[in-house]
Amino acid sequence: MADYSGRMHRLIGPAPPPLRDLLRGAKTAAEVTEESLAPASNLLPGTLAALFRATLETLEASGRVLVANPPSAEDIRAASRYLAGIETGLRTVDNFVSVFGSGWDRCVANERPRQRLQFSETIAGLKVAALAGEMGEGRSREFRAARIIVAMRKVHATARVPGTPIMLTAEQRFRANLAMFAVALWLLADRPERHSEEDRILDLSYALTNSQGSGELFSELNDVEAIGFELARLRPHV
Amino acid sequence: MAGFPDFANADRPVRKSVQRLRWFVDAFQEQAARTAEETGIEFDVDQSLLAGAFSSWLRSFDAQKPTEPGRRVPFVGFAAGLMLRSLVQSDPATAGSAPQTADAGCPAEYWPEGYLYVSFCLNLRALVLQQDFEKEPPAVPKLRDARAWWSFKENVQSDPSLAIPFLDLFAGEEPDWTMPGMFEGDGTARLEASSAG
Repeated sequence: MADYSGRMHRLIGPAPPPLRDLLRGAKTAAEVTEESLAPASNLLPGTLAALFRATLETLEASGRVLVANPPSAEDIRAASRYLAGIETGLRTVDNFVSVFGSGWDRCVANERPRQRLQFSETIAGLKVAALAGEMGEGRSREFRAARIIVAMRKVHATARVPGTPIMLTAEQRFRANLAMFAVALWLLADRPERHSEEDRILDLSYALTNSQGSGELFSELNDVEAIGFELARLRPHV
Repeated sequence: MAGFPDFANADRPVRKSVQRLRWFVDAFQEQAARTAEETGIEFDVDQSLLAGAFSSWLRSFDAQKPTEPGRRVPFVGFAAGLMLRSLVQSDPATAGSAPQTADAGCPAEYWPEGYLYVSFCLNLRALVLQQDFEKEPPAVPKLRDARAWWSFKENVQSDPSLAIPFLDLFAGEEPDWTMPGMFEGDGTARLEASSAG
């Protein structure tokens, strides 16, 4: 089966948030379908089974556009500056949510497709752009980051169906909150010398967040002051 | 005991570097590689458990960190002991099988993971003392004492805080067995005496 991800990237270039959401959704839908129908697909006749697998692989390949084109060093630095309040503007919002989405994807990559929540760059971007001016003049970068992740959570930017308050289990909500906090922590941390280390720093941020225990903070992720305090406490230690 | 990697960073003291997870993980992985080279035993390190050990150490460290500059040197040994306690509790390393030629009486053979944790903490302690405080740590005469290792393994399984005085023992210092988890800060004279000797 051909991998279309490179060709699709050439066709669409740096994809706008709604298209990136579609690609991300298509990939997860294909993985969930594959996971659900794996036993049944074995019962299909040869040609039908091959067609079934080929269709799913095409869908998954479309989602690999996102994985195959991770954010550049400059994208990550710009997102980091946006979170810190050093650089603002609509273009930087688009870049920020795109980088945040790639970090989110990496943090939840090991979860089963059926359990995995989606991150919507479109919904997150609209909310983050609307927050401008409500960030609290003179407050710390950690406070600003806390405001942003709480706002994204409130509009269900990470959900089974982003933008809709479909009930999540406590465990799903907790895992999603951990991932959001970890991505914010990654973006606040000192940038590594080499771009190739960014994934590792994100993994360490996630591991550090995970090791904070099952605190109340992560079950709801709605206390901006407490989240800002915790980000400030952990940031120098990543 | 395998030596410690040269992770000195001109930008910041070692005692500050170790408070960053990225440095801590690199240093621990390097120690595992060097200990594997020394003993012939390979180690598999679980990153999540290692991060857990770091977090737990950081909480204890922050809770007892002295503010007076005069107590910083004795706190180095105590902080290394806290780290050993966290590593023993989280147990992030899993040792592979020992080579046929291994010395059955050596601590690395008796408890490979414990030997790795102790080596890491002793080396880290020595590095901070040498590079940040220009103090030469004493030799480590008890490191190959089999009875000390039996006692160490048995005792820390029932009370992990005993890892703190055991690290003092392995480091050639006088351990405080009475309140092992509390920093009293009375080790300056001891360390200076052993450095002078």
